Amino acid sequence: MDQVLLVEDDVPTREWLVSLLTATGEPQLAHACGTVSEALEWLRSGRPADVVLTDLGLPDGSGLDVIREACRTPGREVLVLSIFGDENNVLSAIDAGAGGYLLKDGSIESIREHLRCLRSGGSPLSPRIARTLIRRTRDAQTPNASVAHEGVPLGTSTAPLSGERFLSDRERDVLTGIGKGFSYVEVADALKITTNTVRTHVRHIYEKLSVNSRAEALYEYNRRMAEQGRPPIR
Amino acid sequence: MDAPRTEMVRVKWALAASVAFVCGVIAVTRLHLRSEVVAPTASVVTSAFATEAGPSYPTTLPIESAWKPTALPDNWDGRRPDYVGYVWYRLPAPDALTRWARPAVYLPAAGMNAEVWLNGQRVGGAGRMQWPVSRHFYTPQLIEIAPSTVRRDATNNEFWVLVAGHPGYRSGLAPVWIGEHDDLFGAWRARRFWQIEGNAATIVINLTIAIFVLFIGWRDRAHSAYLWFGAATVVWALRNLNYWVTNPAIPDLLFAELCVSGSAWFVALFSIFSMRFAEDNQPGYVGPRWLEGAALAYASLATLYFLSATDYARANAGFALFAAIGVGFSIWSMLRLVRLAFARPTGDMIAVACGAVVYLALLLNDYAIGVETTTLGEIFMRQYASLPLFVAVTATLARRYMEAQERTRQLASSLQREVAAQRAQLEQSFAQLREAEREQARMQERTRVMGDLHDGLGMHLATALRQSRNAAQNDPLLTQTLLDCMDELRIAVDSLDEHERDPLSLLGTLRFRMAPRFESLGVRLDWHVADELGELPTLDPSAALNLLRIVQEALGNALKHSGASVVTLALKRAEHGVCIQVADNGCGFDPATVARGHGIGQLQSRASRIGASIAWRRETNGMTLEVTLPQVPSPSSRTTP
Repeated sequence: MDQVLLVEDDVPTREWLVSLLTATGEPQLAHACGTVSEALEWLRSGRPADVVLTDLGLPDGSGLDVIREACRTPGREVLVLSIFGDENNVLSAIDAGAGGYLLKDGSIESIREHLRCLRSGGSPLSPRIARTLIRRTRDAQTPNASVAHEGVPLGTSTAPLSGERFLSDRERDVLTGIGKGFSYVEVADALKITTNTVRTHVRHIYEKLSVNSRAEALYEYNRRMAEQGRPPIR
Repeated sequence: MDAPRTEMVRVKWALAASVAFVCGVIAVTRLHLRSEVVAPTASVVTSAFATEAGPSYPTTLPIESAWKPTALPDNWDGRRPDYVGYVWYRLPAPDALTRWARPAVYLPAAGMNAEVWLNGQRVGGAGRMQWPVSRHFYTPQLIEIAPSTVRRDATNNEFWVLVAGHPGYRSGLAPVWIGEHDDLFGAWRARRFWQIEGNAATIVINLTIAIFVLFIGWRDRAHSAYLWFGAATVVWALRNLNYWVTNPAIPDLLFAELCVSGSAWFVALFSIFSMRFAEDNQPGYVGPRWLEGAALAYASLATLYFLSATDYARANAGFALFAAIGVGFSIWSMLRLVRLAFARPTGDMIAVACGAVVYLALLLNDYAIGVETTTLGEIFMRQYASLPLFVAVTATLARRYMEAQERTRQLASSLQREVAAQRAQLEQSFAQLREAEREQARMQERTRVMGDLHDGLGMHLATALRQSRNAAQNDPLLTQTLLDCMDELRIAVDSLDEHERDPLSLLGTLRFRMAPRFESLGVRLDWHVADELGELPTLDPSAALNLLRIVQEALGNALKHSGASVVTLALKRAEHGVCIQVADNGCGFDPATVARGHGIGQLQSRASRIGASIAWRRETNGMTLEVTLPQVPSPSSRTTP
């Protein structure tokens, strides 16, 4: 059963999520904390954390650090807790290696649903995020394109979405439809596929982004280690 | 260095013209000697009687028996070598003397000095006749005779001329002219100009050239060859004082020997200059290394010899040898300059070569005069000969200097252009940097505001919403209001987005935000996007927020008041922009009567702010709102909502 590490500094929200997770039982809450240092300590000590839910604005630092640390273990599901699901938060989290986001204001049902489907459906994709992803994959495929991607807040590493076939044509169609503001159902109708297939595409898109971000993060980490004359991790 | 044929021809022509010119000059000066007075009544005395009066100024007149017939010119170097002292000359007076109103005697040349006596009375002279005799060997004398000293009985008038002299200075007496003062005056004045005033002028010019050249040569080591030239010019100018100074401040002998030594130094310095100058201007030419040493040794030896001479006779003995060596050096230097012109036939080099040819010819002429012991009264031309040469050499320096200055000017101007270009580039970079900094500041500010909204207001709203839902007596209205607040906040956040400010992005996102609300109330929110939208206008943040508010309000109205089951949001192409439609299948209303309730005024004011037109249409079932946005948003859209 998946073990959850929850990092959230707002006490009511944290308590609410704790109660939610405890009531659900699936996945299981392993630890809840409110600071970056505590989260990092938990992760580095090798204690169980198959799923990491983290806020970004934490009192002693940025949740992005928690995401980067968490992403160094393969197979771990990392979600950022967001109120608006806005691209500033979500994309920087994805760039740091997160695989999606969880809306804090969602109703209990939607959150439960989200957590249950964590490994099958992926996070909802807003039109804005979809469009940003399209833009960034297009930039990456344009020769001599600047590595600095638009729409990425400062201070976050940018994931180079290299390779022409980074996204399949279908995934691109799905992204385009979502980017125009159409729902999963409408996109499915337009593409003559099922809504579940759309969900799967979305999930794949997140996975690709996340894997790409993780590779990039690992590369960056190893580069820093090499600078300090320390052995890289593989 | 091979120069083209035509240039060679040019050099040859120039040199030939110079030779022709100088030959003409020499001919004129030589012929002038016998015919300088043109008046028919004036007579020239070429045969006289002479008697040597001994080494001291005579206090008595010579006795009759001592006179010997003597032809004029009487050059002492030829007739009485090594004689030092005085000689009386007795000249017969012409018969016309008694008839002349202003009779005068003209001595074109008498060295070192002379005075004229008439009938046993001294009638005139120049300077001092006692030792040391003043140096009037190059001073023509015109002596007017007072009519009272002339004897009216024509046969008895007799001119005596007393000449003081010593060897080495072409001492003696040239033919004497006797005539009316005004008839002789022109000849005297011309000779005086060429021998005295003109000579002084060359000294001044030479010194001026020397100062100019030395100054530049001293300041700019690139022109160091000219230092030798400047030194030579100084020596030359001082040496020419020989013809001008009649009463030197130092002993006569010393002055005379310094002048002779000066000639040697000039020759030595100028030959060194010629070699250096040729080396500078003729690629590949290297002068004989021994030349400098030899030239300086020659000048030093000449100086030692002449300064150590105790009398004129001793000095004169070595003159011929040193003069011959000096002429040898001069010939070498001048030919060197001529060959330079052939190797590099530029205008200034040809001018130098011509100057050298003229100088050399006149030098040889002067040398010939100097060693000639039978004539007297010739005009020396070397001081004039130096002028074309020196001016030509100075012109090369001036040209070099001007070229260097031109280069400097061009360099400066190109440097200025470069600096200007660099500055422009720098300013552009700065502008870009400032823009980037502003952009970064904007982004940081946006990130901060977003963070604040997210963790502050957003967090509290989310908590309030949760509490409202969990409350024992769930208040649907409160939950609804909180959800509205949440939507408002999200729309505000969306409008801040940097890249997504075209109607499709804005409305697509709005639809995504609003859809759950519609769903939860059992109303369908359809969303239609035309296939061909064309280029969409880009809105600034405030216009984006205005547009979002208009559509949000319209959607909210349809949801709350119309009772519709389907609301359609559509984006279409309009004639000059895009058209946004909000249509419902509800009860509808009359836009003319229901003005306030639906916030129509508010909507109209927002639309006018972004330059959009807004219109309601009552359909058979329901209402349609159309907002038409121009392709280019109006400037008034920049005002805050």
